[in-house]
Order: sequence, then structure tokens, then C-alpha cells
Amino acid sequence: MTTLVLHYRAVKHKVRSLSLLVSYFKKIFIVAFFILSILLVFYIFQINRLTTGSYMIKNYQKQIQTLSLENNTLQADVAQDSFLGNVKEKALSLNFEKITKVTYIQILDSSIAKAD
Amino acid sequence: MSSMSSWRLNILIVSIIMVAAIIISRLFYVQVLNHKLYEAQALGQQIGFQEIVGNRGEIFSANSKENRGVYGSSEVKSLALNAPVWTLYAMSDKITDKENFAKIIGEKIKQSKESVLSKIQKTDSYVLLAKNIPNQEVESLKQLDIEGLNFERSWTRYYPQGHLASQVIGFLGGDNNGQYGIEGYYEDILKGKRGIAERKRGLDIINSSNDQESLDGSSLYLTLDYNIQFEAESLLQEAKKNIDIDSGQIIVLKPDSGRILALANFPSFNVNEYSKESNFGVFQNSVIQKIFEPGSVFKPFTMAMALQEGKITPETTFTDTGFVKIGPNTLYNFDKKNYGEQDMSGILEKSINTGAVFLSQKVSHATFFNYVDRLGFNAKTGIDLQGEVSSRNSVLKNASDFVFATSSFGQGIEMTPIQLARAFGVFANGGKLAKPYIVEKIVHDIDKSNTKPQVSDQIISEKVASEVTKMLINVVDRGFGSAAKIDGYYLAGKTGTAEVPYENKKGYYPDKTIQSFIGFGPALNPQFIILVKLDNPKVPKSSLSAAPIFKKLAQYIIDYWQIPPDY
Repeated sequence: MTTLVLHYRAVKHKVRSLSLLVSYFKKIFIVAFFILSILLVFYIFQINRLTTGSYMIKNYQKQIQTLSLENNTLQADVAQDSFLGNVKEKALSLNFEKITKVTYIQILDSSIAKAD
Repeated sequence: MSSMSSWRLNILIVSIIMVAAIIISRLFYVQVLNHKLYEAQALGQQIGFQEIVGNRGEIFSANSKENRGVYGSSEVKSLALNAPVWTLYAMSDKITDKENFAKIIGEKIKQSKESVLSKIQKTDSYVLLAKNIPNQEVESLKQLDIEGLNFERSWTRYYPQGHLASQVIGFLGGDNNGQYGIEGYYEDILKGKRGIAERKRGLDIINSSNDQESLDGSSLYLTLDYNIQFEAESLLQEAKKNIDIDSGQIIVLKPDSGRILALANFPSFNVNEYSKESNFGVFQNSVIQKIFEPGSVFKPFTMAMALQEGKITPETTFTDTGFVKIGPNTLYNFDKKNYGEQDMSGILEKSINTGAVFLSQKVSHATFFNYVDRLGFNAKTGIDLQGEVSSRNSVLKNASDFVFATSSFGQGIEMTPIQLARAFGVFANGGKLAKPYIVEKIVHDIDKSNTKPQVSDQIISEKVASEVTKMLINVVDRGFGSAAKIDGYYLAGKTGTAEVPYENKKGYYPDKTIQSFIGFGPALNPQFIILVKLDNPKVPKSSLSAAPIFKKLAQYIIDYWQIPPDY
């Protein structure tokens, strides 16, 4: 009788611990699955951000290249247009005359009010 | 039923553990044991390496505050740039209507329709149509959106000022090496370096950094004042028209620092089309590469030697007889006149040759040679331009009395224009020489280095410099240099009309002269030195050629810098 009781208790304990493991495993599985899902969403979100970022960087690099090329061209154009020989010709065609005499006005110290 | 479920569960757990073990062992194999191989493979996919050459540094005229004083313009002007040019290709198999293609492209690239057609009808699929097409043309071609037309960009050296300061700037030769002038002298600094560029691909581009060292060459900012340079060159062109000079040079510099404000040469050349020049001599910068006998502009130096040695005072008198005998030879005044009794200022005012001989005879040959040496007539000035030469006055050391006598008034002694201009600064700079320089600032990325002016020790005393300056003021006020006089300003200067020696034999050309005028202003507070040198003008003396040009340029600078009048 005693032996049977003992055997029953042992089996009962075994069954209990197994059902505990199963129940924990389910919880762990659900939690793990949940975390994995979150991580996956987060990963997709991050990859998306990275892709957008790298696309933008590429785009900006292209724009920088285009702008610096334009800058070079403009620099050359401006330099050519501001060449004094062209300005001189333009001034002559507009009937501008060269200044031949500059007169300086002498201002005496006493004629100016000082703002101390 | 319960034992069945437990058995399945165990299988599942074991399976998961086994799969995990397989994955972990594979990861260990890939990431630990073979990490180098896979790292290299990944790098190959993420990063590309490409050999690149940095851009050549550019050249500007800075017009900085040190140049212009308080009121001048501060505009930076580009003298040498890197400009994009394009090569045009046709992919003939992609052209649908070849006739139309040839017509449109031919018009744009200034080639006949037939010429373009013959190119694209070849069997080659890739045909070169034209090179060095400027950016504007390519933009308009791109807008046409023609099928089968391809563009490839490259860089070319572009000199937007064309002829201006051509000998000073030099040019970039076909082998991509700088030649002549600044381009030649600063080749190592201007040249872009070769290197490997790392280009990240894919998502790794996020980790790109811009901390790579720039391979571009350094840019140079010159001391040249664009406006003064332009005016000086215009005056030389005018001199060609009015007095038919063979060639001419003008130097403008700051006496206290040696900053070059203008180095003008006539004739000049279009730097963008240097390869079309048949006369290579035009590439030479006569200011630093041609030696000449200066004539009477040397007399102030002889005067300074005698004054410095205490052999004369400004009040010393001398009686001119119109000639002086040196052994079997007789020397005359330039105009063969006899000026009678003169004080020392009179020798310079009337440019009396016999007076200069009188002064030179007051000092020993060794002393004379020593001053020639200390004034820098035996050595290069060290200006930062390619190919400077120096005179060979060392022969003077053991020369005869006659040679010393002629040297006193600038014949038989030789120099480059830049040597003369630097030495004349001794009067404007209180007896000290300033080394001439043309690059003010070297800029590389955010680093910049400024050139520091170099001034010599005292060559002559301040007192002697001041005494000679007063005599030079008299030259302009009432002497042969009066054509350079500007009302309201004291200017100091000296005329010089020199004979030109034969290249390969003794003696001088009977019909050639070098006429020059050198001076500074305002004489009592010198801000500029101007040397005008004209080769073989068709007038008899420099008071009719170089002096008026000096006056025009001095007037221009005075107005440009708004220098207030002295009286």
C-alpha cells in the first residue's frame, strides 16, 4: 500500500513538473515570438531608414558634383565677363570718359563736429 | 496521450537545439575561423577603389589690403582656372536618322554635315566626333536629347584674362607640366597629387567620412594688382602704336616690402592659345630674363656711392667741359653739350655723363664693384618666377679705368629690369633693399601660408638715401625728367637712354636705343616704384618716350589709391 502511494506520488510529481515545463515553454515561445516580431519590424524599419539615407547621400553627392561643375563653369564665365578689356570696350561704347583730373576737397579739422 | 505529447515536445526541443548548434557552428566557421576571407569579400562588394588625380591649384590676383592701401579695390580676379570641357562621341548603331543627326550635330560643333555623316557611317559603333567642347555647347546639345550622342567630361586649364600677364602666369604644357612664370616655378605646389579614392557602395555609404586628405594642388594668390597690371599693359600697347617700340616692360612694386604690383611685357601672347605661337621668344619674361645696359638710370647709384663714402656732399661743385679723356678714349655727354659748373644735383638733373665719371673717380674700383655687388647687380633677385637670370658684372672686378668710367653712367654694366627696380628701392626705402616677390598667399584646403617680405640690412645710410631722393625730385621738377611731373605731387625719378651693344661683337648699334625711366612716388612717402623700359622706340630720348608713360601710370595709381597731394 505504502509502495503504491509512493509510486503514485512520484508519477504525479513528474506529470506536474512536465506540465509546468510545457506551460512555461508556451509562455517563453509566445514572448520570444513577440520579441522576434518586434525586432523584425524594427529591423525592417531600420533598413528602410538606411536605404532612404543612403539614397539621399547618393543624391546629394550627385548634386554636389553637378553644383561644383556649374560653379567651375560660372567661375570661368564670370572671370571672362569681368575682364577689364571687355569692360573698357563697353564703357567706350556707352560714351564714358576717363577721369583725367581728380580734385581733393580739403577739410579742416575745425570744420567737422566730433562725436565723442 | 500525455506521454505522446511529451515525446513530441522533446523531439521539438532537441531539433531546435540541433538547428541552433548547426547555425552557431557555421557562424563560428565563417566569422571566427575564416573571417579574413569573408571580410575581404564583403569589402570588395561594399567599397570600390579608384586611382584619381587631384585638381591643379588655381591662380588669382588678390588685390589685398597690403597692395591697395585704404581705398583701392579688393576684387579677387581669376588668372588660371580649371574649366570643364567635353568630348563628343556617337554610337552609330543607336542613331535612327543619320542624315538628321549629322545636320543637327554638325551645326552645333561647327563641322560640315558631310564630315559628321562620314564619321557615323563607319562600322565602328563608337565614333569620336569632337574634343574640347565647352560646357555651354554641351548643355544645349543635352537639351536636344538626341539618341546615340554621348558626352565625356574632362578638365582643361583656362586663362580667362587671355593676354594679360601672360609671361608672368606661364601656362600648362601638353605634358601637364607647368611651363614659364608662376605655372613653372610653383609646379610642385600647384600640381594635384595622385592617390587612391575609396568609394563606398550600398548601405555602407552611410559610414563614408570626408576626412580623406585632399589631393588637390594649392591655390596661389598673387601680389599683382589686376588694375595696375592692365593699365601698364595698355600703356605699352599705346607705346607700340605711338612710338613703335620693338618691345617694352613695366615693373611696379612696393618699395618697403618688394611686393610686385605689375609686371607688364610687350609683346604678350594669348595663354589659352600658346601652342599657336611660332615665336617661342615671346614666352620669355624680359623683366627677369633679359639683360640690358641701363644707361643714365644708373647715375643715382654712382652718386650714392660717392656720398656714402664721404667723397662729396650735395653742395660739392663740378665743372663740366663737355668731355672727359680716359687714356686714349674720350667720353662725351649724351647731347654733346657743355653744362659748365654744376652742383651734384645738376649732374642728375641734366644727366651729365662727365659728371658721373667725376663721381666714379672719387671712389676706388674695388669700392665701386663692392657697391655694385651689394646693390644686387651680380646676383639673381630670387623672385618667385621661373627662369630668372642674372647679369655677369663680375668682369668689372678687373676692368680698365675706361670701363669703370662708362659704368658710372650705365654703359658697360648690365642688369635685368627686375634687378634695377629692386636696387632703386634703396632710395625709396631708407637705404635698404627689399626682395621682390609675386605670390602673396598659398592656400591648401583650410591651410594658408603668407609670404613674409624680406628686407636687407642697410646698403646706404638713410641720410644718403634722402639726399639722392632730393636730387631725383629735382630731376622731375626741373631736369630732364620733367615730362614725368604731376602737379601737386613730389615724384623722384631718372631718365635713361642707353645704347644697345651688339650680341656677338664689340661696339653698339648706331640706330638702336633702350629708353627707360625709373622713379617712385610720392617721393617723401614712397608707395610705389615704377620702371618703364622701352626697347628701340622711334624717338631720340627717354624724356619723350618712357617719362610720359611713367607719368600716366603714376597718375593712374595716385587716382586709384586716392593718394592726397603733397602741395
